[in-house]
Amino acid sequence: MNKRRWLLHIFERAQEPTPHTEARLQRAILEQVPNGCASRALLQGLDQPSSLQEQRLVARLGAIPERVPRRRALALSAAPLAMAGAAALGLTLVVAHGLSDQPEPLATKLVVQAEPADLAPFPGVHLAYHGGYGELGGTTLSPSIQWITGKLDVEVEPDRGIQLAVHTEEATVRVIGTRFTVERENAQTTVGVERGKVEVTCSDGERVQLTAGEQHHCVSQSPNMLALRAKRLRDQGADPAEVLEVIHHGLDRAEQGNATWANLSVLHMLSVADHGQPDQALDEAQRYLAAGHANRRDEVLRLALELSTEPCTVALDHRAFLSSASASPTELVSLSDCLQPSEPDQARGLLERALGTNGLANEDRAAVQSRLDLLR
Amino acid sequence: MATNNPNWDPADVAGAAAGDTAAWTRLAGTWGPVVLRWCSFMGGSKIDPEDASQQVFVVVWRRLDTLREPERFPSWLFGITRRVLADQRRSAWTRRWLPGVTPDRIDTSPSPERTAVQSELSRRVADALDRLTPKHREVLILCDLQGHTMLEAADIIGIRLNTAKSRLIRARLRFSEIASAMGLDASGSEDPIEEAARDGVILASERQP
Repeated sequence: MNKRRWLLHIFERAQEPTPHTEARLQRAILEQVPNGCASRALLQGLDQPSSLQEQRLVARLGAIPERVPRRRALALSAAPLAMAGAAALGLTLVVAHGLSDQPEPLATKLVVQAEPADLAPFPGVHLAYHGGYGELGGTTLSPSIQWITGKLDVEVEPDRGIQLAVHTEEATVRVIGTRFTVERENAQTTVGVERGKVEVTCSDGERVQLTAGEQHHCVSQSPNMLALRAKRLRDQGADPAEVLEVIHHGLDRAEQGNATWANLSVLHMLSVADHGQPDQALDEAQRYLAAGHANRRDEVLRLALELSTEPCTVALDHRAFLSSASASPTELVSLSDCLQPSEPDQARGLLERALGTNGLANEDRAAVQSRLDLLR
Repeated sequence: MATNNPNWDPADVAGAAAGDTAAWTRLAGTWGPVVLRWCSFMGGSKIDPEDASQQVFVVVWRRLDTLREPERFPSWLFGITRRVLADQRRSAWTRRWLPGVTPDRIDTSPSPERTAVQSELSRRVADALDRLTPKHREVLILCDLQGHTMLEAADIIGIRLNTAKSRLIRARLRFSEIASAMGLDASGSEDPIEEAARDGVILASERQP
């Protein structure tokens, strides 16, 4: 037995050491066994629970008296037969209580409703929405809502220990006991707090805590969703500067040349034109066409034709594209107008092709037919 | 009994046992964070400390009226925490090893947020702690992390002072071996005499009657 083991052996056996033995042991212990400096230094490296965790837990614990029934003692003074019956009943009650304490799994579709939907999926939580939809999952203790679109009003009763989280593409909202609103529209999530306190984590990692009366917006970081947001904002007549900001945000993240980048580029040209800078929009469109990008080329060309003070110059520069098999009747007619003075036969051929397509409205068809008659 | 909770009032135990929710709120507010720390450090990586703490207090609420001596509440609470953690570790093991067993929650693994926040050192120290036996782990955490004296730790765990002393020494030895094997720097800097005094090793007045 080595000295350390011997010391431990002595130490464990020594229930009531004499002062002399104790002094010897103390000296020996200080010399031989770990004194705690090392383990204490190492254990200081452990992360302590955060104050937020502590607050969250205390809030959950406050709800226990309401949610958890006290265990009742069985009446053991009854006759043996009654005791057996009571024991069986007691077992059933214990099992039932045990089950009632467990968080129950949730799986509910929050579907689109013609009328405002108002539901309390379980005690302590109240949801209201109209026109939006999502899905409720998780458990009764930690419910989780995946909210797809629309406006959702959430009310969580405080002190019930319910940790509810609402997830959208742009944000995660965590809450304990409050009333708040999550609205997802135009690829942006807006969280407004009416009562209590929530923590919002946007998909870009930004985290804020909101108290009553405060509001926060989380915007998608996905180029595709930013393009969608810019389009919807523009359709709704938002300030072009705001639309442009969203587009720039998307263009910074999109891969040049891909479909999303093309969508954002077209939106940029349109918004620049909306912003009262048609020449800049035309420059962008011509640079786009010159670079040979295939995505949304027809729209860019149409925009260039519309914005240019010399549309025939643009049309003739892109003659091959405007006369291609995929050209629309409008494009064929536009090119035909430009070719009439110099190449009337080509112009007539284009008009005949336009008439042969199904894409012309009747009144347009009549106009094209009259132009063709004139050329003949 | 001296504890790390100076605001603790044994009268709240009796009050909460009688159904006084204000007393319960005070008790939960005082002891909730303590139990959270116990669960965080003793539970290991597979256990959600908040859920485990809540489960501890569910048991406390249901059985509070069976506690005869309110002064013994800390050690009673610690015993419940220990049993809940043992149950949860067993459940975590079952979930890990029995395919098809439905977990009772969505995911018990640490969240990406927690993983990111938890420092590398903290993770390694927690790993080292996880390799100790539960008995060694609890005495080490009480004395060397939470700063209880050996007498307090013995009282909380419900063992004799001498048993606590020897258990702590064994725990430190084992922890030191594990930490060394894991390449953790286990050198301490505190004066050993001060240290021993704080542990209560050389305070004869603290010897249990």
